[in-house]
Amino acid sequence: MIEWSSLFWLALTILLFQVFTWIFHYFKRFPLLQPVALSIALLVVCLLMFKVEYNTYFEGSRLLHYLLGPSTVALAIPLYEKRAKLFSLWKPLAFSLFMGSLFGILSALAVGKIFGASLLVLKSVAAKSVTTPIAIGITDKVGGDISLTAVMVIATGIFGAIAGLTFLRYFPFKDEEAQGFAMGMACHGIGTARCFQESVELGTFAGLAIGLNGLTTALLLPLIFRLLGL
Amino acid sequence: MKYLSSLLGLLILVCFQLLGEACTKFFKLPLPGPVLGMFFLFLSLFAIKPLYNLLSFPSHFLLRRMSLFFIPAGVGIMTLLDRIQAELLPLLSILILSTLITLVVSSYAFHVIPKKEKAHD
Repeated sequence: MIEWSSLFWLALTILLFQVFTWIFHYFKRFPLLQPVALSIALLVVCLLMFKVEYNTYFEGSRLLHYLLGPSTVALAIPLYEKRAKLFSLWKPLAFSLFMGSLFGILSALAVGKIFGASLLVLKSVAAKSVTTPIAIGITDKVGGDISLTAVMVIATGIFGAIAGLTFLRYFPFKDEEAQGFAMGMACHGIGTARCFQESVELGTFAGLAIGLNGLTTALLLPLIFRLLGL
Repeated sequence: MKYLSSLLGLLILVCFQLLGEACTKFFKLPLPGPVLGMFFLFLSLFAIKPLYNLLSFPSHFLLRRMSLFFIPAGVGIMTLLDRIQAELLPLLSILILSTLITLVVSSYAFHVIPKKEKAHD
């Protein structure tokens, strides 16, 4: 049987997420108020304050964790819904996908190396631009720490959502297709939500990149790690 | 009826995940099982048309709440607070620099390839 305390933390997780979601919508989806980030922060504070072990927490909330797998599979549905765009622009999409995924991984590893990151950190952050469930799957495969990955991916999404579009304005690629797709490539679902606030076109292309970058990075990352001997 | 078919939809999603996991185990692929499952499902949607109607509702139901599902993994960060404190500089540098590099490279790469002409239809 699940212990009552584990069950309590499961209930609290769902409750906090729901409350923070309401707050997020009330403040017009301001990126810094990302419900998942606030929920994690508050839960960590509570667990540390009451000296509860992470295992006790995970025992109950594992129920939610298990839904990551089916959710990843379900990403095929929005991709299928956008198949017309996928086929009509497949050449620029494929090139951007390959280059974006490759440079996403390599730049994370290079910057990490320059600033003296440990091997565990390198393994855990290489997939940071990919949507969280896939990033967790990839990190698990290469032997990184999935908690660090989850937090890093969410932080990347929040940073990209706040700074990404403004930053891209300083570059000469103004079309919404390229900008949207780049936002999806660099900051997954959180970046996509930010794009939809600007325009449907921008958001659609960002959304397209989520599943595609997940698949490409899942293929490239283990290969790169093997080539670099990490 | 909607809920019955949702259950069937969930069953199908889990089966695709299982198929993905089985393939990655059997062929020793370095790919996460659910990602391969997603790929199989994407191809199957073209081959088996009724699959879309069956999966559309349960899939969007899951995807809308997806960020709730990675809270349990994220909370695990509490066991790593020392490590984060020790490596805060590399982590922040990766976060900022790598994200901006990915943005520029992706949008530039998208731009350099000429789009396919839509002249014929």
